[in-house]
Amino acid sequence: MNQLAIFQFNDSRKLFKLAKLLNNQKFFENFLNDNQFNIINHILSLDNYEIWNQFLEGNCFIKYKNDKIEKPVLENIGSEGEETENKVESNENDGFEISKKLALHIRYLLWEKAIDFYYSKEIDPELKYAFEDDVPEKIEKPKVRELEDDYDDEDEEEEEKGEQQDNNLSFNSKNQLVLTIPLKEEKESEQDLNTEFNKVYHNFEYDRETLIKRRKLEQSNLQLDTQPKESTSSINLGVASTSLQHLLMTIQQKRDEIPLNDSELKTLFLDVRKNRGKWANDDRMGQEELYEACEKVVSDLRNYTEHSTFFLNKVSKREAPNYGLIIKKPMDLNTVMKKLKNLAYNSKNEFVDDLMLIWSNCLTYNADPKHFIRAHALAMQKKCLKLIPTIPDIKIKNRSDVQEEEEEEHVEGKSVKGRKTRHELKTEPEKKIATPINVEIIEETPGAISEEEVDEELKYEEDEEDNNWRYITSKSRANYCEQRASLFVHNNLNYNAHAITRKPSEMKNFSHYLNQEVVKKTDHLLEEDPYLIEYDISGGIPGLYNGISNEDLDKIENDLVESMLKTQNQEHNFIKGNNGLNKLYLENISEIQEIRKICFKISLIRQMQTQQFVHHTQMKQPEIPSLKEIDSPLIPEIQESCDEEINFAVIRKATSKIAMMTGFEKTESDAINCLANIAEQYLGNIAKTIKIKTENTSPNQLSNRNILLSTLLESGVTKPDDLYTFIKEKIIQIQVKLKTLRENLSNFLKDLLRPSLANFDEKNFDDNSEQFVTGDFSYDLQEDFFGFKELGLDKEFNMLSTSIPILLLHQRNQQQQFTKNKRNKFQDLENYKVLEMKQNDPNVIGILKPFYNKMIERSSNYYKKKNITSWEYLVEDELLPQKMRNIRPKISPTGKIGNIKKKIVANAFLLDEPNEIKQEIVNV
Amino acid sequence: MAENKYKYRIEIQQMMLVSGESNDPPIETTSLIEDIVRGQVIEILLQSQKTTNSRGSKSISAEDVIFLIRHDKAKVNRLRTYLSWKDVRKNAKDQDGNGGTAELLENQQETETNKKENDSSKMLNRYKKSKIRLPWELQFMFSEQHLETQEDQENIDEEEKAATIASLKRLKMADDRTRNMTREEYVHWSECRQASFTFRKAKRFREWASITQLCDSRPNDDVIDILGFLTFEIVCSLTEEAMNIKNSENKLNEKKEKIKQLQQKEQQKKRKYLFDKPDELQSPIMPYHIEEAWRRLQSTDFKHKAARSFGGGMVKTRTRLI
Repeated sequence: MNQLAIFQFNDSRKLFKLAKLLNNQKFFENFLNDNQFNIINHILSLDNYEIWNQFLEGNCFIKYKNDKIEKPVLENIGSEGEETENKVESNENDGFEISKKLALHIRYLLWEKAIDFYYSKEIDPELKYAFEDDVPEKIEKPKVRELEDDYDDEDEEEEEKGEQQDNNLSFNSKNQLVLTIPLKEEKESEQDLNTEFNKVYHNFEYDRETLIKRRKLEQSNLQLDTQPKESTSSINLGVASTSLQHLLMTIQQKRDEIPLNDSELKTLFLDVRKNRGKWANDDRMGQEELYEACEKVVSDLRNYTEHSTFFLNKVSKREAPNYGLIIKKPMDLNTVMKKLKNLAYNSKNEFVDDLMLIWSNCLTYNADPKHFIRAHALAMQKKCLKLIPTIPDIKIKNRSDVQEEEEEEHVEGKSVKGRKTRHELKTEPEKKIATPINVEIIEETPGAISEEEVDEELKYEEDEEDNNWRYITSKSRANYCEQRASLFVHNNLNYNAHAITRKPSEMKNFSHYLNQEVVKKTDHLLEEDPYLIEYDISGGIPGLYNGISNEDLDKIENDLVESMLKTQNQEHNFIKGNNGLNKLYLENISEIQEIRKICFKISLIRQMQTQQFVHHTQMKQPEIPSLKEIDSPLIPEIQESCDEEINFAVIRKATSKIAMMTGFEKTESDAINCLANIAEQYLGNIAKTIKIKTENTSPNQLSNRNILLSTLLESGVTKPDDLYTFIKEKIIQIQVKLKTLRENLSNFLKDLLRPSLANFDEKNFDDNSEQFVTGDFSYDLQEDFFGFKELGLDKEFNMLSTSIPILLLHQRNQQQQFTKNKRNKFQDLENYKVLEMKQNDPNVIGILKPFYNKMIERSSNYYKKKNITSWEYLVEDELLPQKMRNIRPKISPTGKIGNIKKKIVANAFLLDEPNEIKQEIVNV
Repeated sequence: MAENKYKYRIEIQQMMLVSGESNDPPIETTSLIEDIVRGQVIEILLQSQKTTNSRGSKSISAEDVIFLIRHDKAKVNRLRTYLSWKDVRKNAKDQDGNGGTAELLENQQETETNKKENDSSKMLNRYKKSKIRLPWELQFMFSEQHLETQEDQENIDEEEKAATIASLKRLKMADDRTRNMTREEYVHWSECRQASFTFRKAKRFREWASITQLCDSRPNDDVIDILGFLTFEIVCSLTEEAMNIKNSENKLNEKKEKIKQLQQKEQQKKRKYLFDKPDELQSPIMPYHIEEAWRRLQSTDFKHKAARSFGGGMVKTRTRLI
């Protein structure tokens, strides 16, 4: 509650505490620029309330203490009193202004911007502490204040000074607290900048510029390369190095015995001397270190395309006709590079002089302070100054000289030390040299930098972060631009261009970017391009699927097997099964089928009664296959995955069952599909309504029961009783009805059959119908004729099929008419008495006698064959077996006599006594 | 013309009396009811004409009309009995020669002498065989039908007992209504029961419902009879619904009155004067009651739009038959 009191009473002590806490939470880092943060951090780290107070009151003078001598501008401020008073004062004013502004800024931050921090999350215990601790401190505080006030009032400056001395505080003449703030090293801040720039989205507006500049640089690079080098082949076998001198000598002596050729040998040597770069030269001591550093500096400068473009090449006469008049010693970066390659530099001094010459040339030539190139020159100069300290101060000496020195040392009796000591010896004097260079520079720069230029410079300093970003990314941006540009031709898509493909490394970069990790680029600036999210078209596309490892696969398979085993043990009532209404439906359907069969029989009988002739196809019972629940054995597995197709098939099956039960035993598949679709939609609707109701977020949640009821209501079932009545009326009652109907119909059929079966006698057996053998005829009478049913054999033999004895029926109808007619016809006829035939019967006409005699003989033979002793009748043709019958040539209805059939001998009937016949013929 | 338009005021009044409205309804109410009934008749005719056409014939048969109300089993059952009685009546007429039909119908309700009862039961036995069978019954699913025996008849009667429960309820209701009636009143009431749109005025009915314009061929007398029956039912259900509405309205009003009275308790009660209005005025059914009843009877339930849910779009519905 009294949190706000701090701000109301402007209690600086509390504020100090708060500020420290906020600083710990890195609050200021976000809101202040680098410079300001530096100051605040320093003030807070001093942990001195007095300083803080003074600072907040705006009574502070900020002075920079420089560790870096190379920073010229700041050096000016720091050079205490050595400069002219005028300058100091202006700078003082500057420092004062800065501190005032900063104090205001800090106050603003504490009052306004930090609110989030005060109230964010649960208030930090520390923060709370800071707020709540008010009470005890309030008691103390006034005292302190009073004391301080007293001091101020009474002793004024003297006392203050005393205090200041105690606290190591220094006030300047204007009673302003002087703060000396150590400048951070630029390098550090640069790294910070690197960490930061991934968090900023950069736009593309400078891309074109960078691209152009880049191209220029590359051109000049090409120029450099094409120039004939004094290549590193100077590292020849002939040039002996000290360490390998003896080895080389022996190798050269036995050169013929070595199977390697020259180049191979060379690479071998290079491998051995791995740590040696292209600058390595044994004759010139320290060259490698110096030149490597120098080369890096030059290439860095060249790569600083933001500003370096103008300084790459020599100024041509076309560009500046009078250049030669004003500038006596022209210099450019490429020339420096060439000189490096030609090993023209012997010390850091020479190299740095040349570099500085470039900028000073530019500044002197373009005297107009508003000229744009000046800004570039200044920026380059700054960059250059930053880079120079990285070059070691080494003076290159010739080996021969060193050896002479060594010999001298040797002579002096001093122990021979390693090279390290030599280097140490060398570097010492060079450090002394370094300072004069700086002096030179300082001399140069103050003259050159007018106040307006300072502004320009400030402009660059202000968006240092942006600058840095531009510097670091210039190369990759240019690459990106070029890549992209290649996709287009004259503002149209270039169809022949290679597609931009994504590399795995890029993906890695992207993930780094997401994790806010800095992609380290500063170290290998030359080798790798920094990652730029802005240019990464395919970034953020998830990684490729790498497949499943074998272990995972095994695990999955095991799980599958287990679940399958589980389900196999369970009963699957998903598709199959006689639960629910399924059984009732099936029963009803089979009942309907039975009734249809009976109906067919009845209609057949009716037909036969009305029509004289019934074609046998009409008599065929239409086959009604009984319903079978056939499921593939795969079902349990399929069950697991609720396949859409299978589910639809199940619904289809169910709907077709319902359709069958309602009387549509045969339907077009399309119709059933349509019905199934409707059913599917309806069921889906039910599921949807349930889902909506259960996922309802309103405060009055329905109970499960109510959800179900309301879903039913919305689906058209007004009350759950309706479902019950439906089942009762539509299924169970119908079943009863069907059963009675069937009974009635079968009774009716029986009644229809009864009149014929009433005079049921043996004669009905005459038609070779098997109905009587199997006892099937009795089925329709529902009598167990053979007692099969009683024995339970009916099912076993499957004999008592339900097939109607149609043949019988048919026969019956015909017989009824036929037999009656027959009986009427032949009622008065008596059985014909067969006359007994004797040999030489006198009754027989004489001519026929031999014929009859023959017949009698034949038949006696016939009977003899059959072992029948007493016989009465002659064997007549009809009684003879078919083979024995007389075969008369048949004359076709057309009257034509065809070819006489030739009898096959084997099949021909041979008379028993062919001789007798012949004799008879002779006799006749 | 306006006078000619409404021809059934008296009949409707009578029917309303039968279904419990004891007051004389105003002309507006009866004419509104008449309009509704005519609309319903037209709807019935149109729809049954459709089924007739799809059946492949031209003239509407009784089954086509019954088909429209097949889901209301109680009504179908009543219609059946009505038709069978009509048959009985017809045959009886042929036999007796004089119009004993009214007597017979009355017999059903009124307690009669034993002798007469015997008579009627005999007749029942004789004529009930001509029971109407509807083509969507289960047995007609098959190509062959067995001969009907007496047993079957009884069986089926039993089956449809459930449906008759509803009609029993109706009878009970009628009984309740007539309980407190005087003899004269009862006679009047039972006369009112005979009110019909069609009985002995088939021609008027045809003109009124413009049947000639609506149907391809002249529907037979059975259909007209059924329509007469259905119109009676329509009026009855409309009045009953309207009565319900009126009752609940009255209840609400009473509540309001009570509250008012509580507020105005301080005010002294007015003295009654001779020519003051009676305290409780039984108000007849007003047209707005009928309108509300119509709205309620027309409201589509979920059953008819469940299949369309989640499908979007407007659910088009026909006029529902009451």
